[in-house]
Amino acid sequence: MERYQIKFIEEAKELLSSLESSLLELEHNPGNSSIINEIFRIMHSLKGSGAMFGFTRISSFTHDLETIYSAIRSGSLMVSKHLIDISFQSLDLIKELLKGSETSKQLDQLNILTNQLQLILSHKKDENSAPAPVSLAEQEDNPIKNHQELPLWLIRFIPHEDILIEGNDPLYMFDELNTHGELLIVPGYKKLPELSLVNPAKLFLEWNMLLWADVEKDVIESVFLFVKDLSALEITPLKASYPPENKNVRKQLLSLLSREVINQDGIEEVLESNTEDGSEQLKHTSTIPSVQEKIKLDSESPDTEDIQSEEISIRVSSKKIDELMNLVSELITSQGQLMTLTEIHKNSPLYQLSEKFESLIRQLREQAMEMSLISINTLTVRFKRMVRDLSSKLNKQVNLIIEGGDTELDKTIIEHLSEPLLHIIRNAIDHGIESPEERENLGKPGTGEIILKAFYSGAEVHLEISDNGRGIDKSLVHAKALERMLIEPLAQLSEKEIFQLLFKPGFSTMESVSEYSGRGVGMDVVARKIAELRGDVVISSQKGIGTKVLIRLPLTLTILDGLLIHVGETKYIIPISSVRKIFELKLTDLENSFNNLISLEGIQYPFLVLSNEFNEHLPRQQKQQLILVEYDGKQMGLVVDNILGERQVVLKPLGPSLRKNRIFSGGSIMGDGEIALVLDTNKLITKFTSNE
Amino acid sequence: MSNSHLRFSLKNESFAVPVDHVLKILEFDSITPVPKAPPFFKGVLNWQGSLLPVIDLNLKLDFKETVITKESCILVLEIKIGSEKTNIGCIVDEVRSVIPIEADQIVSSPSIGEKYSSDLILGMYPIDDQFIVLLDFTAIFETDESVLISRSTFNEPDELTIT
Amino acid sequence: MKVSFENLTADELTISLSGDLGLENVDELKRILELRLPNMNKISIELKDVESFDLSTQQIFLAAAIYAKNKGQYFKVHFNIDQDLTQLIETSGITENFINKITLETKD
Repeated sequence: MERYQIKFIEEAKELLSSLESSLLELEHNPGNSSIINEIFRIMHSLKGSGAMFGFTRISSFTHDLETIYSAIRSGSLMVSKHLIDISFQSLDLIKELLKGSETSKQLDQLNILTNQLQLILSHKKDENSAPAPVSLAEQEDNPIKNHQELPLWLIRFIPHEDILIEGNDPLYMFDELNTHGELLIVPGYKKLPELSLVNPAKLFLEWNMLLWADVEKDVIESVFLFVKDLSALEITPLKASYPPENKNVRKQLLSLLSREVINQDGIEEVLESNTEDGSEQLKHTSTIPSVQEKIKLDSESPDTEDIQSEEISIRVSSKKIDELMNLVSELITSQGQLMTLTEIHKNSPLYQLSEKFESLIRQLREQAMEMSLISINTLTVRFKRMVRDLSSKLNKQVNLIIEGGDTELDKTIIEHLSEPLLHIIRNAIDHGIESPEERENLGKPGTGEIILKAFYSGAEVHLEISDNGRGIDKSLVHAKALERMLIEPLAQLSEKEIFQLLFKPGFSTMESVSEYSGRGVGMDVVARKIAELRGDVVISSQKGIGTKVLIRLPLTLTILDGLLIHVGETKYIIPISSVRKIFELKLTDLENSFNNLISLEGIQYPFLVLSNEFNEHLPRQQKQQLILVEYDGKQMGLVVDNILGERQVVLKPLGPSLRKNRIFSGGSIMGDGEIALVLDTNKLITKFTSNE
Repeated sequence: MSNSHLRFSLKNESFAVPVDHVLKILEFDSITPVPKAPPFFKGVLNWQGSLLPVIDLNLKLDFKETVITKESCILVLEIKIGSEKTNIGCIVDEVRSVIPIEADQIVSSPSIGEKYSSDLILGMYPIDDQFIVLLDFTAIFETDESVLISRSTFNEPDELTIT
Repeated sequence: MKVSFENLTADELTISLSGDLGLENVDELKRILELRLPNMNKISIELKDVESFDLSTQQIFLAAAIYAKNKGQYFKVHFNIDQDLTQLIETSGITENFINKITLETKD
């Protein structure tokens, strides 16, 4: 039962999120009937499934809401600001109720809202209700019954997925059928997922059976009495016959029964030939179902009427997407191996085939990656709601504009992006946007604007959150940083550097931490979260004009463009995104360098000799490569033995036991099966430059 | 859940781990080293397309480093670190057989004296005039994590001593 | 459900199952099969002293048999169980038509 309820909660959350965005839309278009219909539909499903899964409080509460929106739909009630406020409050309450533990505060709220809803309802105009159409089940023909042969029944049984959880095991039903006569049974498993994806408490099998028994149809139906409401059961009388003894005939029947579309004539023919003579004729039996039968089955299918011409989308659990991505990653690795093996004979057909595979796999990877991308729009409902609530609490007027909401990002990134973005928007409302009076005195429009703009830039996604509020006072930031001893008194800082100070731990420009933006989470946490996603964040601001926060993110976390390098015997990967320049050096240049600083093109850079660092011996080759990498405005050189070229690689985690490792972000399996560790240049630079 | 245990040896001592936790027995293969890791951490291995961390169990328990022979194996174990299940490869000297171990016959560690650190073993099991040591892998690798965090350099002797 | 493992080698494993094999233990059974199948070339399941058995268990064996078949592995379930229970299990047609058939084909 619990499994059931979890599923309901999942669905309900999705419904509530659509409800939230529909309500926001309704607020702007109170007369739009398609939005009202949508809201009514959501309430209706919530009520229905809530009742089914024992969430009675939610169900009866939603019933009242549904009644209201039904009245709006029929024109006997009008949409008002009050009604929308109540709807939002109700939505929040349902969210709370879904969490399971009912507090007395929630129950009070429930009573208050229920009364409010009743009050609204009491204002509605009278309404005529039409009687609901009643559908009658069609009665089947009576079974044929003659001679001493036994009546034959074709039974198709598709149990409901949850039949086992409900405590009904079809084994006992089959056993009971067995007591009525002779049963020939074939299970179908086309809906059974692959082992790892099977939810073992659910039943994915279905059965086709032939039952020779001198019983009426209702006797067979009664066997399935407790399950037939949710399961599909078809009982069709066939021509009476003798139950087959012959092994060949049975085999033939089993094979006919294992088809999805049952060829009834075929079964009857096989049985007829069984009564006449041997099994010689069986080979000629047609196994192709006749058109008539197909039509019959199709028209009986209960689903047909529900099919609509909308674009079909399916729900897939994110676990399955992860598994798909893993498989694709493995495929890329194996293809790399195949390429290495076949490359030696470039003229062989095997090599050509391998090349073709490579291009197919590239397409497959792109498709799979696309599937794991979700649009930023999935987050914006939350943002809009927060802007609505917070601005009204602070008596400010704020308009949130989303541009490029359909820009897509890896779902893992989206999941981790929500909190930092909320924080930035919260900051903009709380600290950025002025009160309407203040704005008007400044000659600005009373309503402030926050623009969230998302767009692609190369292999990155950029998110820009800008507001037209009061901006950040550069000198104030500088003074604060001095006071907090975050910078040296004589340090010369560029404008960009000053704003980056806002991301330092423990920095806050507001004297008192505000209730809304404080919450113990500062911009330092935002910066850290973005860095964990291999992205970065920059602030720019103009006093009196506004503030802009720019976040740059990679499209995906699992696939990375890297520079494959050699250090001693081992290969490593440096992410291309951090590489600025490459210099070729002589070993003597390094030996002559002083204090681990090297002068290149007139600029002094700190550097690290990786063979020294990793293998504890000095480089052996006379020619060395220095790769200049950058993070957070700091540059340093990494000296390696050799650069093997650029590679697109799949980043694999090192596992929890090495998570604290500050040098590697993971590893990648190369074409030859060898592992190359991926250097975390961001951490390396931070660690190295802070040690000095 | 199951009482089946896989018996293996380290430096002629007998140890056992529940078969429940043993995913695979691998022959010894070359391992990609991870610089700046503790000495017992031998590196990573390509196992089923993922990176499998491999440790030298002898070194981890402060025995002398494993001398690789034909009998050396890597046991792929599924262990819990924190709340997370993870796989780890352990180099051992030799794998013996699967034996059933009855819970009520396990001698708890305090009664054995101080030969083994009681934090790291679940108990001892008497068989054929000797004791099999039942290692507590969760404890061993949980310590691993904290050891890694608290140390600034990795060259100190391992803290997990079996005296 | 009691589980014990016999015969663990680099690519072979025998899993013995006894007690209650049904819905309440099928998650655990799935976990075991899912964990062991990719790592072993040959897996035998021995059922003995089985007190209960239901369709969910049969279904997960079927899924395992299909998995093994696709990977060209050996997977076989030996039912050393009570006559009445065997009869009940066989009414589903799964054992007769699939589990054993599939494994017979993969035997080399």
